[in-house]
Amino acid sequence: MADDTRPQPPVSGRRFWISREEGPGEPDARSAVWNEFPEGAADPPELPADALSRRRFLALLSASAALAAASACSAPDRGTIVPYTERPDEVVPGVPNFYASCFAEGRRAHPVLVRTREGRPIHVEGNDRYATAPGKAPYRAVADLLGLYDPDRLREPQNAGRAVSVPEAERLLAEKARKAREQGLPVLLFTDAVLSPTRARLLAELRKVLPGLEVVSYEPALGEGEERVLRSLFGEAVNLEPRPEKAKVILALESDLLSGEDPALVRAFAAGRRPEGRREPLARLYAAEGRFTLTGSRADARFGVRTGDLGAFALGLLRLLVGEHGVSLPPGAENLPWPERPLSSLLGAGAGEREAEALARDLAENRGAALVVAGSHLPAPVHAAAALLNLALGSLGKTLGVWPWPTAVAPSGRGEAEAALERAAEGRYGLVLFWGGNPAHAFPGHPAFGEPRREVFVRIGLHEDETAKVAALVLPEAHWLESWGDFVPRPGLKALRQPALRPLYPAARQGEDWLLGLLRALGGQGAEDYARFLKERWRREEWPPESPVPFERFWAAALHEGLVPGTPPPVSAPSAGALGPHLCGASTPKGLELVLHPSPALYDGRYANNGWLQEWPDPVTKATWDNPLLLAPADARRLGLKDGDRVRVSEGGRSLESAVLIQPGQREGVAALSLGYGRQALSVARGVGTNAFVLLGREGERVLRGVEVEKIPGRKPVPTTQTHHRMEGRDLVRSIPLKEWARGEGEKREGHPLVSLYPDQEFPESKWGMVIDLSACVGCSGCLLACQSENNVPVVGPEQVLKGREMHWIRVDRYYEGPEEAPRAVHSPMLCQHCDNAPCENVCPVNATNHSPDGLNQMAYNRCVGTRYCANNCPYKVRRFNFLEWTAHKREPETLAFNPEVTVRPRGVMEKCTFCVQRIEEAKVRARVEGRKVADGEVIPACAAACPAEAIVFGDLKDPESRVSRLARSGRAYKVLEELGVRPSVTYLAHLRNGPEDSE
Amino acid sequence: MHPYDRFARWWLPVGGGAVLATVLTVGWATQPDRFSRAFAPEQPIPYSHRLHAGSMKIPCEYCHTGVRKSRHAGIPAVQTCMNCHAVTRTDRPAIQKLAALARSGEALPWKRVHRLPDHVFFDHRPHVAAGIACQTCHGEVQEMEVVSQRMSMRMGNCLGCHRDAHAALPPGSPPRKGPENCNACHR
Amino acid sequence: MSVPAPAPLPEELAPPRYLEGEVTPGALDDQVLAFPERKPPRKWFVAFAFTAALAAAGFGFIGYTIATGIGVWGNNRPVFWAFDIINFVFWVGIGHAGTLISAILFLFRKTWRNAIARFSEAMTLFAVMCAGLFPLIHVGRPWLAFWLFPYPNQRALWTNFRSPLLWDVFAVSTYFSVSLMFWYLGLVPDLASLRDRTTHPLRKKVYTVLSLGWRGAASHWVHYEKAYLLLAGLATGLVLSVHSVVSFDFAVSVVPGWHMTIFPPYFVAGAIFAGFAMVVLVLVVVRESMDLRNLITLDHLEVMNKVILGVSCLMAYSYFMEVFTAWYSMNPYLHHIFRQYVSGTYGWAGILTLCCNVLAPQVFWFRKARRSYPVMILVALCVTVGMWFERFVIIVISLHQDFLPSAWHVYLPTKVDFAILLGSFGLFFTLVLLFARVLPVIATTEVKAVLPGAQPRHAGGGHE
Repeated sequence: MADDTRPQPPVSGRRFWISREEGPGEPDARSAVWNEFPEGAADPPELPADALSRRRFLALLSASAALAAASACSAPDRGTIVPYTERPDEVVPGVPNFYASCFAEGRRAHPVLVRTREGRPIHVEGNDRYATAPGKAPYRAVADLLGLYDPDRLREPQNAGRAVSVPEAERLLAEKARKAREQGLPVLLFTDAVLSPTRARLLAELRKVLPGLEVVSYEPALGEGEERVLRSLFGEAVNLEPRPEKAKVILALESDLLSGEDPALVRAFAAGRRPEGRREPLARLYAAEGRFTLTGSRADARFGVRTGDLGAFALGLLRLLVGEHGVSLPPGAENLPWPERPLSSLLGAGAGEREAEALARDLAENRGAALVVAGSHLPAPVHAAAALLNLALGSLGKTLGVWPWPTAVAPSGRGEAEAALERAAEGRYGLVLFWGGNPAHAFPGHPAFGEPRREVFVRIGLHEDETAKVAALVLPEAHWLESWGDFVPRPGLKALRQPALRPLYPAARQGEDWLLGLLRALGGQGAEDYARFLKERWRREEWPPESPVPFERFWAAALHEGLVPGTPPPVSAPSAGALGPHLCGASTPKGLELVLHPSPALYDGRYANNGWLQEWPDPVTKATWDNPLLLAPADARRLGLKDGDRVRVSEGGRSLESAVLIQPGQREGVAALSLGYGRQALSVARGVGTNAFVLLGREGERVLRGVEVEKIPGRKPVPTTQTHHRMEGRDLVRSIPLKEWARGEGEKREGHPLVSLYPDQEFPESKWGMVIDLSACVGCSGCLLACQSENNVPVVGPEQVLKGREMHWIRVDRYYEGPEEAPRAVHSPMLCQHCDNAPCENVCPVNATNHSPDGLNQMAYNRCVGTRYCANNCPYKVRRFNFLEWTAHKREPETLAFNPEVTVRPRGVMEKCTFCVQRIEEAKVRARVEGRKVADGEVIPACAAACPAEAIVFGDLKDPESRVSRLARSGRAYKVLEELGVRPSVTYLAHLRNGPEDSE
Repeated sequence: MHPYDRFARWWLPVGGGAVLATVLTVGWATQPDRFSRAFAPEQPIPYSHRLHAGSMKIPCEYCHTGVRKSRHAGIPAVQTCMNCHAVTRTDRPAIQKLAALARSGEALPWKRVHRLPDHVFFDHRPHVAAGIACQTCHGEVQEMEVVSQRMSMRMGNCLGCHRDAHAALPPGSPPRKGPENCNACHR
Repeated sequence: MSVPAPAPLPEELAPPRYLEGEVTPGALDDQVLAFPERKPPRKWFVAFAFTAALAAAGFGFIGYTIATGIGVWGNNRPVFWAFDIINFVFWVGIGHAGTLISAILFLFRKTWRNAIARFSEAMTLFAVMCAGLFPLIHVGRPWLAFWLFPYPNQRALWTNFRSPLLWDVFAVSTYFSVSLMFWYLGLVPDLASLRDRTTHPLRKKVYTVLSLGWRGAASHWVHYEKAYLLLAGLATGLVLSVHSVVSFDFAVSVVPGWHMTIFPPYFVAGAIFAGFAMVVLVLVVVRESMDLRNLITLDHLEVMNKVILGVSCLMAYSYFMEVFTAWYSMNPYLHHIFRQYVSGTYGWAGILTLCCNVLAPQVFWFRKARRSYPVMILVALCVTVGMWFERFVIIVISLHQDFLPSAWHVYLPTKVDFAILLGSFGLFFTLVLLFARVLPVIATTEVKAVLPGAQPRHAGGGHE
């Protein structure tokens, strides 16, 4: 063993606790055992069996040992390692690759980066080259990674319920189309919003060979009021682009612009709420709404106005501006008639006329720096009034951009869609292609979907969903992460979508490819796949021919960056006069009014099979796995309802049943229900919540009046992740009025010194810490999903959420202060605080959780026996216990979504936020190999990376110059439960209130 | 003395002791960290490290390219073998098998020799960067006809070296310890 | 000179009689040691069948829990501990009376203990067995529970000596082993006499082995007495230490309502309280069913009840002190949780605890009550229930609303929780029944020591 290079036993006193390993051991086990008992082993087996001599005894012993040894020696197979037969150049096993792509939903597109490992996407984040929101992705884009690995996805084409091959499916499709063409019947393509120029071009090509092609491009989640108003204002389909970063005063008319669905808006708003100095003016956010939206909860002043009255409110405000603040109406609108109603009659509890005055003053004083936004679900009158306000305040072109609809296919209204479907029901079409969306769910009980597998119906989709059930031919669609495409996320900016992996199922192809096949089969001109089609169009239309860069390089760069800047075509000047008809439409609400809005989690229901989003607590209600009817406290009292009661909601003959949840702050007389739930297909989605599309009228009116709500027997408790909503006078989430802050009054510190019996922790190299700026955080809860995706956080299901066993490593605490009619809400992300004197550490009997030299409270899952003592002793209750086995039953493709850098935790162990230690370790290793220190900002946890408000800052507290240290020294800095002396590593910056009364 | 008494006083303890001793001995002798060593499964292709790494002196990193870039050293792609074997020793059945795989693009499932549990995140990079020779953990691979595991590669094994690394580090390197905190290997 | 015959004392003032009628050593042996010989009555089998079934069911559900995960219990976030630890503390508490009676009273030379010591010690053991069950099954991965023991291992890992749970492991196991030795040592002479009495060959073998060759020689007695005294001393310390250590699980933590300096003495008192109640319950049954009225007299029971009364007052004081501390601390979290003890979701549990532990035992101020079966049984039951709920109050209520309101959550136990609780009772009484069947329930040798005339007296009976 002289040349044995293995480490020799150290001479320290700790040697005893080091295993036998360091001693020179015999490589061969069998001989090792025999050598333990040389003399016993020396005995020949045929020893005369006399009385039990010691030698004999030992011989027997060693023999038995040897037998056991021999058996143990035929070691269990350790599986196989399968290398690439031919390794792709860019792939190094164990090293992630990033691909720029683009996420599209509703009328929005957003550039993203997809992180892949060995060719499979494991995380979606923002594209850092995207200037408006660098590195930020919409939270549903992050969550839709799970949709890629959804086991319910269609795997091969089906004809009349039988699986068929792809060529066969293409043949059938072409046959149907030809038949339609021969019969001279029109063909209906029923799809969702067409945001992609190339897709629009493809449809144009298709129309050449299918003259009778009708395209209905309908987004069920979105209202049409805005659409209509903008059309008549600009004479064409346009998009609005709010620019909160340019606004000093923002008025949100039940608009959830801070929901995080568009991170750019949150980022822009938060940027104006994060003062470095004390004298900086902050942007002020007013909200007028009937519901209690996340944006409203963050408003500096919030007016409780019935949703039906919002139009009147805006007009009243305009009248006030014109009458008393010398604001002049836009040309053409000088003598528009509109119904007058005094503001005072519209205001509910909370902010009253004084605030209304202040609002008017602020708007008037900040002409050109004011912004009015109205919720997309609101009817035309509100949008018309909002448009008038914006025009009068000169927001257009300053705080509010306008750019034409990116494609030739303008969005259709529910009326058109309904009409088309009726024609389909009557069999007027030779072929109906349902591509994208889920009309059978968005038009429940529509005659068109009466009978299963209609011959002329063809479905192109991801799942065998409600719509697939009524189609004869079902074509599996590729997930967007497997697809090509191009979009226009911002005026003039082109974004490319490229597949991050080949389709999981060979038969799955993106819709465009199916249509291309059809196009070619019908004799049209088209490349053999959409990738080429896309490239061709770009060569012809996007690549500036005069440019010195050859196209191939241009294309490669475009794919690499994912973005190509450009200038948008101009928009014709607005004609305010055209708003007249819309203004008069303003109707006075009667009875209980019901507001139908897209679900923050499931949108229009397309994500209903996504466990992450189903279990993602609504940022305001904290409800999961359901869309309860939200009632104002007063209405609930009047109707004798409490949380979890079941009700029947009926309006004009249509009705549905739902559970009730009482929403403080919701204006009396207003009820709210979110769309997208109540799916009837797919394993996760089926039967969760109730389908509110039932109540949607032909005109797609989303604010229903005179709704009946009656109690029905039975209870259905709503699984919420927070069951207590008041701070009980505890100083947990702090907010300071701006004037105090400006006066230099900082955050009050604990008076008494905090002593500890334990010696202070020592951190030789670095000490990781986090700062969370509550003034920037809007509570959108995007961090939850990023964390869930990054850290393999399991989904537990509604029953377990009801028992309080959800597993999210980071949660957003939401507390109400003040009267329940008009409370002020505060949001505060809560995650493991990595305390220096962590109470969880000293109570773990097996040392499974303890402190790392770089200041992390580390949790060794594989050492944990599950006494749960640590969780009891955690004052923040951020530890999560695997009460049952959540993941072991998972099979491919679900398991492919796991992050290979993070252990998947078994049943019976405790887990919690690790500050994304896998990222820290990666950075440290890289720094070590390169012989340098970890740079500030090199480590970014998933939550911080995803936070659209950039409210979370992570870094080394030991380095006084790091960004996190500087923020931690801010006057607004405080620690939650500081008085316990646990010394958290997470510092919070108090929220700054900027209401009219909060600043002088 | 009553026979039962004698039994109770002598045979009972002796017997108990014997049973206990047996259990302990067998348990100790068959513990995994002894028997995880010397595991040498038969491979689909009789690849000889002694030949390639030993006599031909092909550096480890020619095939195990990941070792400086990634956590995993990595197993070479079949193409890497074909770099030479497209022309050399093409008469050997094993090589022909290899070539067939390379042509068909089928996978070549090597038998795993070293396996760490899923909750262990070993990273080759810092170890190689610190100048620790592959042989320190993998044994004298260049002398192995069939690769076999030489270290138990269980926790005590890692910690033994992390707590006292001088034997493993190249001579003259500054005295240094490996991290001992959980997060260094477990996430 | 002649001493005037003393006037007959009124019954109340008569010295307590711990023996009824004429008891001779032989009669005593025949009465006590004969049980194992006789075939037990039908009612014994009925009772045994019942309790055994209960225990079996309990173990069934434990198996189910281990197979499925403790998610089948009601435990949630933030109430990570509930029935599991409640039952553990409850049973450890029950275990206290035994050693107290047998060891401490022995050191105080309270001879009235002799008749009941053996039995209460046995109960101690069984209770601690039941207790020991829960920490084991309550962990998430019971098959790894052995990691709680510090032993050199290849992982080079060590246990965390700062953790009260680890202290528990040592405290409870020590307590159990010492009580076991103490109890077994006391048994040896009786086992020997059983060995000598019995004719049944198998029993003879067994008792022979168990009696470790005891011949009753003077040398044996000398060693025996020494050892017994030493163990008594050892056990005494443990009686006080064990439950103090158990109380550290809570006192050492930061949870409002747990972090209380009064817990150690308060827990010990509570333990003795519950233990005595349980002893009274069982004694009554034993006394009647095995007609030992002459050896276990009403006076025995009365003394026990007096202790219960005394400890009950101690408990009342503890409760008061606890509340006072909480109020005086000016700690809002503490104030909140103490309001929750008597109001709020689980307020009823707090009220119930107070009624059972403080009010009910007060009837024992009356001699009649102390000497009446129905009353003492009722009170004993009250105390048992009350003490269980006391632990419920401490553990569940304190946990369900701690620092951050956002994490508050109510706790609801499941069927499995109750099944396992009942199962533990089944186990306990099964063991009691078995013990009553196969071993002498009364330490004859010790009772013989207090038979009239057994003690050497000076002429004229100077000092008693």
